[in-house]
Order: sequence, then C-alpha cells, then structure tokens
Amino acid sequence: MKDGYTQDFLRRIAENLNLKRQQQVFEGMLGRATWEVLPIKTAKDKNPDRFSNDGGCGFSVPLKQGNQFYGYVTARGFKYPVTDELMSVFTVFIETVMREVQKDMELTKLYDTIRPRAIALSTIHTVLRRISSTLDLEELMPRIARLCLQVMRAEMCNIFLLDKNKKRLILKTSVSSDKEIKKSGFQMKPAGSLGRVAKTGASVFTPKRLLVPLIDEDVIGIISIRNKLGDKPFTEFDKEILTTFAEQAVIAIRNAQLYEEQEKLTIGSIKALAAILDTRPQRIQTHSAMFVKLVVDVAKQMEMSMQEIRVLKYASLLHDAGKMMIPDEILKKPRKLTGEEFQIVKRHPLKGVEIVKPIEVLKPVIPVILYHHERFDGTGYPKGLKGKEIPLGSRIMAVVDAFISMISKQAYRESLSLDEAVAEIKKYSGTQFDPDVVDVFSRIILKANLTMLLKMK
Amino acid sequence: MPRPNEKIFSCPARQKIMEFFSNSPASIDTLRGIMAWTGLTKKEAIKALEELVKEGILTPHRTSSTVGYAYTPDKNMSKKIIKYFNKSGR
Repeated sequence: MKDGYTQDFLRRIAENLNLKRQQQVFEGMLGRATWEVLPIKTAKDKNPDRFSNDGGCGFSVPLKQGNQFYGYVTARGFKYPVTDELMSVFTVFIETVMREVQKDMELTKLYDTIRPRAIALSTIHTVLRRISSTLDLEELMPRIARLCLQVMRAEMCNIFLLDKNKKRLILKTSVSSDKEIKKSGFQMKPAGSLGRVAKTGASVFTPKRLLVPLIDEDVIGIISIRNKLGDKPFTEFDKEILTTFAEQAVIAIRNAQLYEEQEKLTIGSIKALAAILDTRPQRIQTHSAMFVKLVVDVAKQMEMSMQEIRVLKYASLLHDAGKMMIPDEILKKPRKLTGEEFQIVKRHPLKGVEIVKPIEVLKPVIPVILYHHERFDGTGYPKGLKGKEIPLGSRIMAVVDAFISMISKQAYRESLSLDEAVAEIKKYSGTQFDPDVVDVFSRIILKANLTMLLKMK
Repeated sequence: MPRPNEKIFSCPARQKIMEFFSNSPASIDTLRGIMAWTGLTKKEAIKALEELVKEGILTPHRTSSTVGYAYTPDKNMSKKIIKYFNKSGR
C-alpha cells in the first residue's frame, strides 16, 4: 500500500529519524549499521524482528497504527546480535516517533481544513461590514453586486427586486468584471429561470449561471451571476457561498428599504411644513427642489457623511421657516428694504429655530438654519461667526441661497444670467463665502444640466 | 490594459500577499486579516498592499471604518496573474 497518506507518513518518519533514504548511523562497537524506512511490499510478520546474515546483525520494527500497517524501520550491519534491551529501546523509540508523526499529521490536516474556512469567514465578515455601512439603496445595490463578483469570481452580476405586487422584476444593478454597466430600472415579467426562482424560491444552477433568491419571509428579489472566471463551471460549493452571501445581502437591502420608507415619511412631513410656509408671501423662493438638489450635490462633493447630508436636506427645505414671523408688508415690498425692515428680516433664522425646535427629528438641523446667513469673514448674522466656526452645511446653503436669489427675478431688480451669478459668487469668495464651497459649487454649476437651471429661472 | 509588472513580485511581503490571494482568490480581507494569514507585520503589509493596489493587482473595497482588499475583478489582469504564477511555479 503506497497511497498519499502512507507516503507522507513514511517520509515524516524518516525525517523525524533524521534519515534520508538510507543512512549510516552507528559505527564502532555496534558496527557500521545502516537504517532505512521501508514501505511494506509483501505480507510479513508485523512484529519486531531480529536477524543476522552475511551483512551482520540487524532488526526490523514494524510501523503500525492500530490495524494499519505501513512499513518497517530496518537497521542492519550491527557487529553483534541485537540484545533484548537494545531491541526494546529501539521499539519504544520508534513508537514514540510514530505517535509524534501521527499528531503532526493530524494537526496538518486540521490546519488544511480550518484555514480555508477561517479565510471564508473572514471574507464574509469583511463583506458584511461593507454592505452594512450604507443605507442608501442606490449605493448599496452596485456595492453588493461588486462584492458578489469578487467573492464568486464571476464575470457578471445582476440584482433584481420584485415590485410590491410581485408581478414584475426590476433590475436594480448590473455589474460586470470588465466594466461597470450599472444599468437599472429595467422591468420584466418574471419568466424562464428568473420566473422559476421568483415563484419557487429555489436556486437555479448551471455550469455558467447561478440564480439565488433574496428571501425575507418571501422572495423579494434575485441575485444572478454568470460565467466563472477562468472558464470554470459553477459548483455546488459556489451555490452554497452565494446563498450565504444572499442571506446577508437581504438583511442590508431590507434595512435600506426600511430606512428609505422612514426617510420618505420624514421628508413628507417636512415638505408639508414647507408647503404651509409657501402659503405666505415670499420675496424669494429658495427652498425649491433645485435649491435642495444643489445643496445636496455640493455636500456630496465635499464628502459630507450620509447623516450630515440627510440633515442638510431637511434644513434646506426649512431654512427660511422663520420668515413666517415677518410681517406681510415687508415680504411683499417691491422695493429695497429700509434698515429697520432689514433688521426684522435678520431675525428670521432665530425665528426659524423656534419653529423647528419642538420637532425631535429636526433638532440636528438647528445650527444649519441658525447660521445660514453668517458670512465667511465674520460680518454676517445672527452671531457674526467666522470661517470654519460656521457649520459647513450653513456655508453651503449660503452660496446656493445667494445663487438662486441672483438668477431669480425680483420685484426690485432683474435676474442675472447663470454666468453673471457664478461670477458674482466667485467675486465674494473668501469674504462672504467659503472659498472651498465656491470652488465645488462652480464646478457643479459648470457640469449641471443648464436646461434644467434655465427652466427653473 | 494593465499588466502585472514582474518587479512587483520581487519583494517577499508582496509575494506572500500574492500567494495568499492566489490560494484564496475569492477572499476579501482587511489589513488585520491579511497580516494574520501572511504573518507580515503591519508596516510590511501596509506598504505591500499599497503597492499591489497601485499596480492594479488588488482592489480596495473601502468603507468609512475599514478597507477590504481583494484580487482585482479585471479578468484580463487575473489571467495574467495566473499565467505569471504558473510560469514562475509559485
């Protein structure tokens, strides 16, 4: 018997005895003895054996583990017959070496079994951290798809979600290993393999394609991957991995969906409040959709966190809430305001704070609303804060607010063109406005959809 | 199309990381994980990972709290890496 295990076992025994294939160990009184580890070739006595022949005396010790017999350790060339005592010492020594080798081999086997699983576990842990670090569905879907491609070593990943009536599949993202396609929104009736997965909740598995359901009580979507890298077929193991992956992905997707629903409720309430504000006469409408969009775009470019952007979005809808408290005649006045009237207008950030203060969810927006009329050089109101003392959200809103005001037609002056308005903003960079915000804002306006901006004008 | 610069494999730390990813191509792991699997020190691992990312061999998956490193999903690059490993007998 010379299978892999036996070969490995004999090799390790030889290594532990410090033997190459055959090695001279003793000289002198014992003779010129040579040792050898021999695999079993014929059925022989499996007991220790002493012998003498023309080459001198020697012995053989069988290498046995339970009923398994692997071979012999043989020493030959002794000058004198091997005594019982010497034989006993050799036998015990060989048995000890065998036990050590067996332990060593078991450890190696354990390591070989555990290591890939530990690596897989570590990968799943990293994937989880990655997908649970966003609650934005638009960001989450391609992220899941990219990680899926990475873990599955596949060429393409599509993620579909079922609509509320479970009648249509909506392609949420499509990512390939070559280039990111990232198309979404495509809708289809669940048919073919996709239909089968959507209907039965069972995976579909072919050498080139793997479809696994996203299940949260019921099927909510499907992860589909195609073509394993290196032209290999998908295996049962791949299916298991993708199923585990999908189980984790569905938690992240559900969390993001719940967050989105919650966000819609909050935004709905804030919009209702903003709509009430709109019933009041306005000098300038600066809480329009465009205002909110520009503020959020600048915030994203300035790498504000999702939470900060969310707060800023609420604040941009309500930043002029305090104008509710300003008398109609001032708001409706078709001419420039007098100094006294302007003093009344300047109180609107404080008044705005009074309006939003009792609403728990709006507490984080208070500083943004309060300081959105501060100026970078410290000459603004209500506190005269300077530079970075002013919250970044307020610095962003100040720029966008001024821009929208300039391109809007006023009762007391004509509107400016987009270029003129941007030039004006740049002119006050470093005095009225934060230069970093102005830079980002100017770049955004350059890239923005001009038709949309002009339409808004 | 990017191709692995063979010099990139000359450093033992980069070699260890590449061998880890070649044996576990589906792995995505953090600096801490890669240090555990390769036995590299933090300093060695950071430097080698940065170089492999720069070379386009590894892709960093970033979150606000950590970075997960993985083999590039670029299939042409993957083929070249496999070819390199087969050729060098590593």
